[in-house]
Amino acid sequence: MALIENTKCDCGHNNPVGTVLCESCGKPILEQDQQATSPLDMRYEGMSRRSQLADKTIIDQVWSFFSSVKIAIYMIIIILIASAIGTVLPQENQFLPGINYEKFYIDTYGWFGKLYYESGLSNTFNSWWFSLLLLMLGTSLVICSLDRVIPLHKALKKQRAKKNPQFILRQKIQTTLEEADLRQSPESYMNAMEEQLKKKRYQVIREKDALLAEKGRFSRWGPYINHIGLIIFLLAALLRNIPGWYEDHMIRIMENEIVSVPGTSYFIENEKFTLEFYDPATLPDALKQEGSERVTPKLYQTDAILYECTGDCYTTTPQLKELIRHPITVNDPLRYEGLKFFQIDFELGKLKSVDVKLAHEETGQVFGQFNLDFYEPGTEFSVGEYQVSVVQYFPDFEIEMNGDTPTLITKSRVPNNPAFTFKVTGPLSPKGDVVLYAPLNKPISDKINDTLGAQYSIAGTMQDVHFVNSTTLNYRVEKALPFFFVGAFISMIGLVMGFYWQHRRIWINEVDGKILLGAHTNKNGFGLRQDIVDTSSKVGVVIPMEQLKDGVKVK
Amino acid sequence: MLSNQKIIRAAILSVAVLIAAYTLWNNFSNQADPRLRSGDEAPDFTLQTLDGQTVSLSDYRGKGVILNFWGTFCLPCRTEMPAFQQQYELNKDNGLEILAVNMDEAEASVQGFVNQYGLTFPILMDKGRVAELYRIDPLPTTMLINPDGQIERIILGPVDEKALSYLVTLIMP
Repeated sequence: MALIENTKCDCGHNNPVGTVLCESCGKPILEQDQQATSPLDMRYEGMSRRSQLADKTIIDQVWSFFSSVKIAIYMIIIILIASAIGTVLPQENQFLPGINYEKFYIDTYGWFGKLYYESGLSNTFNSWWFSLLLLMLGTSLVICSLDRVIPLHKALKKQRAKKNPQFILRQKIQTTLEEADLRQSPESYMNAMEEQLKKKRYQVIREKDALLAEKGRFSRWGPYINHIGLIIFLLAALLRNIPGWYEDHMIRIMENEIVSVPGTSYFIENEKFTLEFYDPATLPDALKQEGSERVTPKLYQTDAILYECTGDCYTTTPQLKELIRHPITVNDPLRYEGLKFFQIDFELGKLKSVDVKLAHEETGQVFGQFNLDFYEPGTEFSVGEYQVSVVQYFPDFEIEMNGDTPTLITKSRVPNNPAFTFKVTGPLSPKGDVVLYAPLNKPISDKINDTLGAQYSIAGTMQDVHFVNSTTLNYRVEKALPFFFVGAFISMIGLVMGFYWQHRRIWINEVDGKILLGAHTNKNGFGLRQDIVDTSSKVGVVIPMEQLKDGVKVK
Repeated sequence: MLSNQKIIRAAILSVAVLIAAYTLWNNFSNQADPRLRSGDEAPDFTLQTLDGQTVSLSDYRGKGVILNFWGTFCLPCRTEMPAFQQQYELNKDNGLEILAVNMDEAEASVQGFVNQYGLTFPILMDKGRVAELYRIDPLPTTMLINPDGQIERIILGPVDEKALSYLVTLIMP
């Protein structure tokens, strides 16, 4: 209650609760502040911030919570820490799809990985709580800005030239000029100063015995314009939550393979992957000397074709319509209606197929050869007079004990360790004879073939092996990007306004035949003092720079 | 003046609350989570079988359908297969159909497996699109679809013989 009684100033103006300096004359409101001699706190022109209201409903309380800069700083710190922790381990969207995330994090990083996965940190930036933190920061930005910019705008709009002497003399830059210093009437000094300050492009408000010169007021709006930019930026980040606005996946494609783009009706083909190196002879010496063995990549390129599925999309033979072809290189993605495919990784020389020879086990007589693909093997092969059919295929084989009987199984779909069991039918074995082919595990396949008593051998040499290159593309959709740019641009305008311009004000009041001169700026006090020294000396009153030094002399 | 200010405050705070609500809804609600639930209509699809026939899920309206997603590389899938075969032999004439959707494997692998286990129900060859449509995780996943085409139960992981014989009663026409 004491606060409310004290808000009426000596000049007769009624100030709202929470006012520090009288809105009209600038005199400090609080008694202990009136007795002090330290420079005045000029923040927000000493206006009452809007959240400091006497009566408080729930809405007002929530409002004041978000209006606190301290709370905003805590929120920024929490977001900073969360973002930092989110970069300790790779995030889930950085992997090729189809892996078991829980298993991956536990196998790779142990108990820490388990904790990281289970606490949801492996998906920090898409989590609900991270979005809510951003939203709270956004709300705080809006409310903090509104609570400060509106009183500030009002205060600056209704400025008066005539101020309380205490207000002027408790500015950081101030001086008192006696009649002896002036050598002219205070009024003619003020008139001359008005003219000089106008020449320096100050805006001047003139009352009978008072003058206010002002420059660069718009720079005060810089921080708030910056905030508007940041709010747009944050909203753009939240827009990513709308389904389809933001996608970020990895797609691995072998040469000549067509794969579907997750969540869309598009398919993409890798026609060819090219990796080129610089010819070491053409490299500058500096690069050569570092390590003569070093190879320097010149080009990573995927010749890609994008298709749209027009029917039978779920079958093994979807109907595809070609949309666009593009050689994707680093920083030159394939773009199509907001979809982008970036070159991100590659794998060279993966086992693709092998030309194997069918021969007689003992005599070594070759009956013929056929091509065996490890990804899409056929099921029947005609080899001369013989018929070879695939009985079983294990791309990643292992022997599993099924009770007492060893059984062949596959650990995955990837041909890391392929094994085929063939049935060979022909002149030597009209009923068919079984033979195992496991090129990457000769000892085991030989042992099994011995047990089977296989009459045939199926084998290929290293020269007969065909390799394939695969590429990894990063598929991205970022529809909110224009909003990020607009936000960042507005924010930059605000920063430039606030950084490169200053709000300078000079009050000159006549009190009892003396001139009281006070000045305030939010930065570059030297420039403002220089302005005062220059203009004053032009009207014949030399004020030494030291006399305007920061500090307080109250008479 | 004061009431004006109150309205503006309430408006700004409610916009913030609305965005927060949308964010949470997006993360937690059924609609935003594309996973299927029991009671949902089973999305239709068309696939080729191992023997080259084209089948659609909707062809089996009026029958109880067990839709099983599996792979030969998946151990629990291998262990549950005999139970499916047994159930199929028992109930295929009473209106039960089993569709086993294979997860993008080579024909040779699948055919070998089918011969080894003596499976007689249709094996559907998926390139990963149907599994994506049904958001399958983990393998195996079994969906029990009633004669009206609705999902009656979803079983994540393997099913044993006893459980299966009970589950089948839920979808028999």
